[in-house]
Amino acid sequence: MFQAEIRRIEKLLYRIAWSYMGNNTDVEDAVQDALIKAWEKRASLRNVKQFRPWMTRILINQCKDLLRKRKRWNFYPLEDAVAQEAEPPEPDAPVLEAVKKLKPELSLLITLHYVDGYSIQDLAENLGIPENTVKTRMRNARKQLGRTLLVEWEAES
Amino acid sequence: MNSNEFKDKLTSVAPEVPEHFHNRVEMTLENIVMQEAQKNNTTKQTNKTTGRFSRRTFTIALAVTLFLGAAAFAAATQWHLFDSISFLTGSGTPKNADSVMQSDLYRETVNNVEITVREAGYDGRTLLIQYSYRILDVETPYAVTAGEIFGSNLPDGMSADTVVESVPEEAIEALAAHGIGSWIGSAWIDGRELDMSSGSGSVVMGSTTPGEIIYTNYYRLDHGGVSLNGSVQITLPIGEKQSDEYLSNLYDSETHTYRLPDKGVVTFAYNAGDTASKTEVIRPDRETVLAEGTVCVREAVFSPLMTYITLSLQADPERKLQEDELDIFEDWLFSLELIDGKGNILFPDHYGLNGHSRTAAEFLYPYMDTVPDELYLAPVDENGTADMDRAVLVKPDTL
Repeated sequence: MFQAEIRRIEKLLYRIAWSYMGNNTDVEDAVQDALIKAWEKRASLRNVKQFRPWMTRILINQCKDLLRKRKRWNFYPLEDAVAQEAEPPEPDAPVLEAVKKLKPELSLLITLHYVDGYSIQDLAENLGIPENTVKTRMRNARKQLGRTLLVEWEAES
Repeated sequence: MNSNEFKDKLTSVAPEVPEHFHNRVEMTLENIVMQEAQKNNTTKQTNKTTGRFSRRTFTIALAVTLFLGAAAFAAATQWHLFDSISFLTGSGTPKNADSVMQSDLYRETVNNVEITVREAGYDGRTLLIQYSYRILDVETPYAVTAGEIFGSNLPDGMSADTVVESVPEEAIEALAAHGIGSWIGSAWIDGRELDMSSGSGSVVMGSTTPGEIIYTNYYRLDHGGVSLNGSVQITLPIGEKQSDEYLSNLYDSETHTYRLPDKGVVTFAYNAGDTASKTEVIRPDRETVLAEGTVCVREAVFSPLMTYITLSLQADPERKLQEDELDIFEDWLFSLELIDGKGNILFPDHYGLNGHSRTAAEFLYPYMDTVPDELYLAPVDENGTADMDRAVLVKPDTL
């Protein structure tokens, strides 16, 4: 059952970790560590219906933990630095860069909403945060992106 | 740029899930399963040599059981209710459960469904009630077994026939077809509505008895500001289902509560006695200053069924300016274990954190027959080492 649920939310886990970590190597490390922690802590899941917010919370904590360690050791992977210099910017990179510059919890909502089609309610249920918080964060994210990219947001749900 | 253009551009550049990531997830899942199987095999061998039911065997089985909210119905246990809520009360029946538990509280047959209130107990904080439906014209059992869930990879301590939580959809449909079932999420105590306050919940499972469905409800009365004393009348809306119109007529718009229904309910007496005298409450009230802020054990309650620990949290003002207040203590709270004065983890396989807000956190642990002289909640690392510099005192040895 644990395995089946994880497979169902694999893409969600990737999006979450990517929003925080920003590169695939760290994304994989974070998700692997979070899966092991979740398996060890599965007794804490009192309601199977709450699996997704429970799992996403563990992953977010894991990502924050890795980022803290990174900060502490001033770690900066050489591969990333080389890659940044070598790769030419893609045509739509400013959009991606602007989203990446948002706080992770905001960029995650923007990506899940606009790329993966999550509604406000879906976001609240999957991430375990109140709908009003999702709306506020979305509003803040749109405001920041609007300033950077000059996006004129249409009324949305 | 408008919203749609933004969406298109972001979609075209947002990374898709790479094949490598998918492979890494699959590899991790496979490793988890393999390691668990190895653990179980090792434990089985240990049991054979020692000839006794080891603690480790039980905890592994327990952990798997808890993940599904599962409950094995052990015939030897007097109070079956605890098998359904081991995630709250720990494994087995608390030693002093007899002092608060009562059984065979109600039985009635409605629409060919036998409704039985089997067991109830109140420990000064939580009201526990187990009731069952037996649909008399159904000949098949609704038990969901470990064999169905785990296949041949059974957790240690479980056989293929072990009944675990959950019931098949057909059970709920059959109950509905008989017009029976819970029709509002409330209960009434001495005629006053009791809402299922935070920390409350319900577990449902089938059994090997044909047509039987068993519910175990736990109500955190203290979270709703309610305490029981002496004999009380408890009413549950678990009889004949009532219409929405009847329900709306019960609603009192002045008090925003539902009046006591006169049909579709079962009412039984429960004698709560003087539970307060059976419960030890301590308030150490000693502050611990951490980088995150100031922490204090507001209350520790040792009841005949459980151990409740409430912390008050006061985040560091400077951290509050930089972070969401809810996140500041989270990592610390997640890492805490209940330990004695010698640094021993008392419940290594029980996850204690029951919930937290910006200013408080609650931990639940099983009943303790003998409460150690000193108790702490301390962060414990992966090697099982407690960091006493970041521990909070739960029970000082001077008490």
